[in-house]
Amino acid sequence: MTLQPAPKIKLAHVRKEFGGTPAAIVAVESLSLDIRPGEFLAIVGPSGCGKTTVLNMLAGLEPVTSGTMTMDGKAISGPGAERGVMFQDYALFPWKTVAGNIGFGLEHGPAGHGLSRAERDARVARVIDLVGLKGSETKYPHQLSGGMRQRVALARLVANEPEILLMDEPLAALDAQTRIILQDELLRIWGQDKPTSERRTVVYITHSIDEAVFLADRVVVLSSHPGRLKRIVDVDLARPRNDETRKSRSFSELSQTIWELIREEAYRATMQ
Amino acid sequence: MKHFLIRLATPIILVILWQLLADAFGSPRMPRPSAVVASATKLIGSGDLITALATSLGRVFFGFMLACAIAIPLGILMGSARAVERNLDPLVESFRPVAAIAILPLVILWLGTGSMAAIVIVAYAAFFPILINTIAGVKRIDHNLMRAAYTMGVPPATRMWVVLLPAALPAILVGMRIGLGMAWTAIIAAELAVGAKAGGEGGIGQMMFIFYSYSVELNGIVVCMIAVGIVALVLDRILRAALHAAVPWSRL
Repeated sequence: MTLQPAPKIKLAHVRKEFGGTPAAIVAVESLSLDIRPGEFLAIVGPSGCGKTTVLNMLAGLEPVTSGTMTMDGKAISGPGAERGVMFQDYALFPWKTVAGNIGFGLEHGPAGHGLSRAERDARVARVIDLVGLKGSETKYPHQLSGGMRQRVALARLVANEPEILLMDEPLAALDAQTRIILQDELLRIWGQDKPTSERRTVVYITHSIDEAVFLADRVVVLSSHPGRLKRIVDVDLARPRNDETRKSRSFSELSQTIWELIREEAYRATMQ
Repeated sequence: MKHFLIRLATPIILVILWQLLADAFGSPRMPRPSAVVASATKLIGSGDLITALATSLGRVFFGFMLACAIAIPLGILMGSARAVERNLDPLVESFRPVAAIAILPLVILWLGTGSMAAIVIVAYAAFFPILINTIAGVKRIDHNLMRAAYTMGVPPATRMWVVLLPAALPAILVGMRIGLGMAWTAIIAAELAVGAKAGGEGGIGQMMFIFYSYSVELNGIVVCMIAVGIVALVLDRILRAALHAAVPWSRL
């Protein structure tokens, strides 16, 4: 039994309601969860399970209705540069070039404090290289394919070097082949070859069970209406993960396990 | 070249028709292309037409700038703060249908018939399209862009400059383009209306008024009309080009 390090983020009895009383809708109910430093945590669940709400609360964009949400022991009360967010629609600035988008947080936010112009440019160049966008620096988002835009959004997130990477279905809008390629890329950029202590903490929302199993160390399964914790599934697949992982038996078994956890609700959701 | 000729075909045919009809049925005083060309040559040669256009354009420029200076910041405020919009919207919507020319009596009483009055009329005319488009542009911006900057820790005042303003810029520029068209229309009307009293103030509208009320020079009036149309076209083309240059990312 290994000793677990202190959680990076701790959710205790978190509840989230939308709308006023008495007609409030409960999106998340009594959710308690420890997010460990350096882990890749995926959150899956049928639609209506409040997974995006959880991410928005972690980002500080939505306040919790009750319960507590802390990072390194301090309550999360609003957005902070130490928690970077990647939005589902990428939220790229259309008037900025690829390089301008990636350097945006360094130029205007605290991520760039104390860095000289040359240091910021160097970091942007390094990240552009890392995500494979070399040669597209001066293009505008509308000139890029979906996969390229996704890379820009990821690069912008990575360039700011947040401690926590919050991702809301970042690959959802892509075609199947591009998704698989970008899953591999994501793990490489995250640093799956490095020891856990050097990895950044990721909270990854997805509706794809396969994707969650392939990427994550643990998969949090939520149930819907209201969103509650159903089960946390440990994914003990060896890293680095690659195509072999996708073909392995334990990969399919884990996916199957999770699917069975949410199948009934997922069916029900399609009937509504 | 061929393309150019095709585009000119309709105007040329219309001018020929105009000449033929005027010769066949018109009175001697009716304007006809030949006389208009003669009149235009005279007006351009003497420098009167250019001076008048320059005077009007100068007024439009200052009035337009004044309108931008007020409408853009106000539009951003109204578009981003609901409380401000709720307060000011009834005021804006009740003044908007009041044509610029309808406030002329008041403006003349307060400011006289000089350039200052003309600039105020122009500013009033250009103000509303710029304001309305700025408000719409600010309201329509992708909410996630603001949230993205927020999560990157960009302070609120900076977000205004580096996200809100550029995101709304295409709409603001569309408003400016419409506003400039309105401004040019308004200056002609304003100068026409104050023409009799405007003394040596000049302007293309006043020139038309003089042709109308003193010399009854129909050909001169037509020359002015054509000049006004050409200037409007050129202004619009310039602003459209500026718009494309300023927002290369936008697919307007």
